[in-house]
Amino acid sequence: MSEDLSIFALISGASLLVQIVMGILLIASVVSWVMIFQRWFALNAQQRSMDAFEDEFWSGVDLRQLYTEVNASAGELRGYEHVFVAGFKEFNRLSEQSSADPGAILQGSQRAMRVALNREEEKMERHIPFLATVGSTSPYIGLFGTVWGIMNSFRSLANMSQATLATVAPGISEALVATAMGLFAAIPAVIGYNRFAARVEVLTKRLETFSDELTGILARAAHSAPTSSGGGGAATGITKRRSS
Amino acid sequence: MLYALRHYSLPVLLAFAIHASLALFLWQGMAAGVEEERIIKPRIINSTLLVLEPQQSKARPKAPPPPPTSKPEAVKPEKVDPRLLEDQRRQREDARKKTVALENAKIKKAQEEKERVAKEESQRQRAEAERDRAARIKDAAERAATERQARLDALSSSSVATDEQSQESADGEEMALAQTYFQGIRAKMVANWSRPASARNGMQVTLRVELVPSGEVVAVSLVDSSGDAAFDRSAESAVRRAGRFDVPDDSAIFERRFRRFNLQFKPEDLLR
Repeated sequence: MSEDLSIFALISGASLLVQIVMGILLIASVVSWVMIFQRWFALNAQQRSMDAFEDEFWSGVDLRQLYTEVNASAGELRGYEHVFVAGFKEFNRLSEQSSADPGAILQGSQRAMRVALNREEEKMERHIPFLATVGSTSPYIGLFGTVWGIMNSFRSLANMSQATLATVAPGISEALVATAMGLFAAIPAVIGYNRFAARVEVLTKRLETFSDELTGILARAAHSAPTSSGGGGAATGITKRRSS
Repeated sequence: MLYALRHYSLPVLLAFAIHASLALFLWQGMAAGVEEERIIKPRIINSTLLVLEPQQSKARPKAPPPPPTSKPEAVKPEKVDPRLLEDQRRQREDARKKTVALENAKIKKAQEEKERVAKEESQRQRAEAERDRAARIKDAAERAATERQARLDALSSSSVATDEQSQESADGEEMALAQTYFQGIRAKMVANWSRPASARNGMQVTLRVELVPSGEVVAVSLVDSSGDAAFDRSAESAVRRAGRFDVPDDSAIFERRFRRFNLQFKPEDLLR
């Protein structure tokens, strides 16, 4: 009557297939937690760097100076920096060719910014599909383990003349551990997926807005540059004003 | 590689920490659950002790009779002793008459040996008497317990042994356990029952069955007749023929539910 029903006894007493299912779920849970923490730190860092760059960008610093500053700083470019560097580099390169007209210059820099933005989005969204997969499949995997375990415990019940609750209960509770583990893996993964997907969307929106703002600034510079000195000095007199 | 190490070492560490702490929590939680059960068990034992106390006081008046019967047994060997001493003295005198010191010593040694054996025997007899007396006291206590149980049973109106204690503890697990044993008892009766021709569906007979802790049937009596004497007899003899039923090892549960209980018999549930 007083059987050892601790979780670990249940796990070690389960059949091989159920144990494999439990192992898969444990791995899925560990990996999804790794991804959750990794995404959390990465998105926090992204947001922090974006906030810092936004402050610096709108503080009235000269764009060329900002460009050299950002380029000089060690480490990978992220968020606004990436978009800004890509767009500004393309703008400079095109405006150095005197033949290029302002429209072509702007289109080129816009394209470069779009590429950088897509790269950023891709970087932010990394691992998030994995969380979605774990969140949607691990309950089913757990359920499979449970169904298998209950199936076996009922099959062994068929051979008994006297069926009491005590003969089925250990098998069922053993099998239910698999479902519990599936849910344990799935719930944080789903929460993490929803939370991070929303955050990535917000950050992407901010990047898009920024690239539009930068396009506006560069357009003003491109259209005013040919009338003044032209060429290399095009961006020196760029004035920033928020359009909104 | 370095990138992975830099960006993933902390998350990996945290993920493992979460799982380890969860495992620890589960382990601790399970251990705590077991401890709680352990706390409950002594409470049950306490309650049975409370029931036994008044019985002991009742048993005490019955206890005195055994000592008078056991005391003479214990005294007898002491009566042998003086005789032995006399023997010894006489023999010592004989020895002195013969004035053979060696023989004297030999006899003395033999006497001492005899004395020792006698003393040991008296001690053994005394111990036996003591044991006898203790057993008789225990018997009396047990008889008082069963009598009290019977009175409690008579007070309670439900068919299967119930008393204040079962209501107090209201232990579902115990009920379930008792039910499985009752099912076993019914099954054994089915096996030993021969259906009389007059048995009809809808008949019901209630028997009072008394068991001893080993599960042996000591008494079967009719409580509520079905109206058909042949059927009543067949049910009664089925219980007698079964002879022995499986009962739980736990003596507390046995005392509460199986010492004596009412058994309802219906032909239709035996047809299967």
